[in-house]
Amino acid sequence: MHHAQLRAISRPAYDLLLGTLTSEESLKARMLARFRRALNLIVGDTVIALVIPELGNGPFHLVVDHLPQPLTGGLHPIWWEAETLHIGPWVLHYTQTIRIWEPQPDWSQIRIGTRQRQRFHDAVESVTRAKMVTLTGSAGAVASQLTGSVEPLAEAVVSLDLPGVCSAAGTLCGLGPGLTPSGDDYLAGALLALWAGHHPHRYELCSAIREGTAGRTTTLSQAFIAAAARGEANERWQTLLSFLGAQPAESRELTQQIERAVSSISTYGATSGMDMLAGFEAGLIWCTTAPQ
Amino acid sequence: MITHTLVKAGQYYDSVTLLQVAQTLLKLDGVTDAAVVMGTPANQGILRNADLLTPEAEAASPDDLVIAVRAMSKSEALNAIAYAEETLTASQRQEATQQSAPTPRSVSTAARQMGDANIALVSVAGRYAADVARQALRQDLHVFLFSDNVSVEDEIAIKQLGRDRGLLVMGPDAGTAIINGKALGFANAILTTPPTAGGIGIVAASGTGLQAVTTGLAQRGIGITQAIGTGGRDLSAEVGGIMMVEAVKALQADPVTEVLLLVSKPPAPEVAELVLETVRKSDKPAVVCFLGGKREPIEAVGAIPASTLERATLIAAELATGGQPAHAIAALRERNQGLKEQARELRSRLSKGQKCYRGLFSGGTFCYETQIILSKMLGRDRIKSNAPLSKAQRLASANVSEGHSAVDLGEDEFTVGRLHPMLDPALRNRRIVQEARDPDTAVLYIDVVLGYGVHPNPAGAAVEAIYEAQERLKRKKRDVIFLAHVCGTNADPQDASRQVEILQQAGVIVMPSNAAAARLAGYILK
Repeated sequence: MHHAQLRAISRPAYDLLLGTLTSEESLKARMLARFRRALNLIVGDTVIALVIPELGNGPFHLVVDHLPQPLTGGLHPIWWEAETLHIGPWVLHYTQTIRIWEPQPDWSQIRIGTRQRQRFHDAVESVTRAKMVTLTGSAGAVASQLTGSVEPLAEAVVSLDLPGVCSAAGTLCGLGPGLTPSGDDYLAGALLALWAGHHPHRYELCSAIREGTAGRTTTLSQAFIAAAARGEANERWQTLLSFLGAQPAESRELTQQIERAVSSISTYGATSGMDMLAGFEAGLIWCTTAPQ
Repeated sequence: MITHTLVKAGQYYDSVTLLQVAQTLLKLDGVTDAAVVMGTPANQGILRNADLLTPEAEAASPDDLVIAVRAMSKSEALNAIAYAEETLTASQRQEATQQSAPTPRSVSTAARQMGDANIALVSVAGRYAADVARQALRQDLHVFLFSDNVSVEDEIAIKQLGRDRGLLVMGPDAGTAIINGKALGFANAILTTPPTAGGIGIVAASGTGLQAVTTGLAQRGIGITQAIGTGGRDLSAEVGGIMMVEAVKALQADPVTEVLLLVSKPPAPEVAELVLETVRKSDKPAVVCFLGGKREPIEAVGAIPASTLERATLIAAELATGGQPAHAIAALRERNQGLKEQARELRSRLSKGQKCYRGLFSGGTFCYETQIILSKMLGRDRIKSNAPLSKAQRLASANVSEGHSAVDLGEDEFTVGRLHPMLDPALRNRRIVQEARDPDTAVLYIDVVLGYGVHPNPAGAAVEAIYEAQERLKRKKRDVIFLAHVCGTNADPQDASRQVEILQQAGVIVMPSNAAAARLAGYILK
C-alpha cells in the first residue's frame, strides 16, 4: 500500500472517477508515464495524472502531497471507501474539504484585446530574453518543419478554411521528440488563445484542430489538446489569463504579475511551456484578424 | 551504411532528454545520423526525410518511442541503440532520485540544499536580477548574471558588494564563462578539468571575444584555468572596471594560472589606466587585447598588446608553452602572405561591378573586430555598420547594407521580440539571400558560433540559405565569394569539424579565425 494525501481533484477527473460508483464494472487504471512531478494514468481511454502541488491543478490532475511509487503491471482497479480513493495499491486520503477544481475559466470575464496582447508579448519577451530559452525547444529538422507548418495553419485560420485548418493542424501535431511534442504544445496554446481572444469562430476552429490531430500524437498530448479545445486550462494558465484579462490601468505591479505568470508557464515541462506560449501568441494574432 | 531502429512501447521522456540522447549518439564512432522521437506521423515524416524510417519505425504508434540510427556497420548501429537505451534508463533513475529533493524556491534554500555550491547563475527578468544577485552574494556565492536590462546603478552596487565580500560578479548580460572547468552560459566545450599547471587565465568583457580565445586555445591543446566574463559595461567610465580589476587580482593569486589574457573593446581611458595598473603589479606575463585600442599604454606596463583575438590567442599560447611571442607574430605574417595569393585567385571569380563586403554577424565582437581590420585595409570611413566604430559609419537602416557593411544581427534592433541569431538563424538566412541578390556584393561573410545553448546545427541552417542564394546567382551568371569562420571546438555539441565540412560542401571558404576572414576579404576587395 502506498498512502498519499489527495488535496485537490479536477472536475473532469472527479466526474470520471465517480463513475466507478455507478457503473457495473469497476474502472481500471494503467500506468502511462512517470515523471519527477507527475504520474500519468489511463483510465478507460481517458488520461488522469497524479501531480505534486508544485505542478498545480490541471484539467485532469489529482494533486497529492507526494507521489507514490509508480504502478507496475497491467490494470489496477479503482474504488472509493470512506474518505479514501483507491487506485490499485495507492490509497489517496482526502477530507470533506477537498477542493474540486474547475479547469474552465470564466471566459466571459476574460477578454484579451490589443492592449492585453501587447502586455503578454512584453512579458514573454522579458522572460525569454532573460532565460536563454527558445520559443520552441526543438531543433534541426523539427524546428524547420515547425516553422514551415505554422504558416499554413495561420493562413487557414485567418481565411476560415476549416478543411485547411484540419490538415495544417494534422501536419503540426506530433512534431517534436518528447511526450508532448512541440507542435502539440503550440496548438494547445493557440486553442486557449482562440477562447481568450473570443474568436467568433472558436468552436468551429477548435473542433477542426481537434479533428486534424486525432490519432496523430501521443495519448497524453491528445488529452492536452482535447482539454484546450474545450477551453480548459491548467492553474498556471488560469493565473496568467486572470492577470491578462484584468482591466486596471498599466502598473508596475500588474506587469510583474503577468511576467511571473508567464515565467511560471515557461518552466512547464522541458519545452512545453515555451511552445504553448508561442502558440498562444500566434492564436491571439489570429483573433485580431478574425472574419466576423 | 545501415539503418537500425528500436521501437519501445510505453516509454516516455521529455523532449530535452530525447534531444540530448540523439546528440550523444551522433558523437559515437561510425554513427552518421540518429533520432530519438515519439512515433507520431509527423516525426515519421522527419525520419523519412532523413532516410531513417525503417519498416519498424513506420509501424510504430504515436505512443511508441523510436530510436533510429544510421551507422557505418551493423555492430556500430546496435552499439548506438544499446547506448541510447542505457542513457535513457539512467535519466529515469536520476529523475527518480531527484523526486525526493524539493525544488528550491529561493537562493538561500538552494544554497542550503547544495552545501558545496560556490556560484549562482542568475537568469531572471532584468528588473529582478540585481535583487537575486544580492541574495546570492549574501550567501557567499559568486554570481554569473546572464540577465540583461540591469540598470548601471544596480550593476555598480552589486559589483561593489561582490568586491567587498571577495566574490566575482560576472555580468550583467554575461554571455559566457568557464569556471573551474564548468561552462556557463553560451560557452564551448573546452576542458572537463582545468589544468594543474601552466594554464592561461582569461578575463573578458566580451562574450564572443571570450569564446574566440578559449576555443582557439583549446584547439591548440592549451589549458585554461579560468575564463571570467565581466559583462560588456564593466569597462565603462561609470562602472570603472570593478570586476576586470578583481578578476585580474584573482588570477594573479591563482597558483595554477601562469599567463594572463585580457580581452575587451577599448575601455574608457581612466578605466584602462586602472586595469593596466593592476596588470603591472602582476608578476605573470600578460597579453592584452583591447580591440582597436592603443598599444603604447599596454607596452608601458610590461604587457604584450594584441590587435586581434587571433593574435592574442597565439601569443598567449606561445607564452604558456614557453615559446616566444615573436614566433606567433611571424606565423601570422606568413599566413597573411598566403591570404594575398588566395585573394588574387578568388578575385578572378568576380565581375566588374562586384566590389562590396557584406558581413552578417551573430557575434558582436567579431563584427567590431572586422570593422577595425577592414577600416585599416579599405579606408576608415568606408565600412558601415549598425554597430559602427564611429557615428559617421552608422548604416541609415540596419536592414539595408550600403557599400562595405558589417551587420551585427545580435543588436537590439534585431533581437527585440526575436531570438538571438545564435539561436534562431531565420533572420540571417533571409539576409544572406538578400545580400547575394545585390549586384554590388562580392564577399559575403558569416560567423558560425558553436557551444552549449546555441543552435544545434548553425552551419546546416546557414547553407540552406547559401544554396538558395547560389541558385539565384547561377541564374544571373554571377558568383559571390562566401566566407565563414567557425568559433567552436570538436567537443562542442555541434562538432566544429563537422560544421566546417558542411560549409565547405556548400562551397564556403572557411577561415581559421574571424581576423583571417576579414583580412582575406580585405585583400580581395583592395
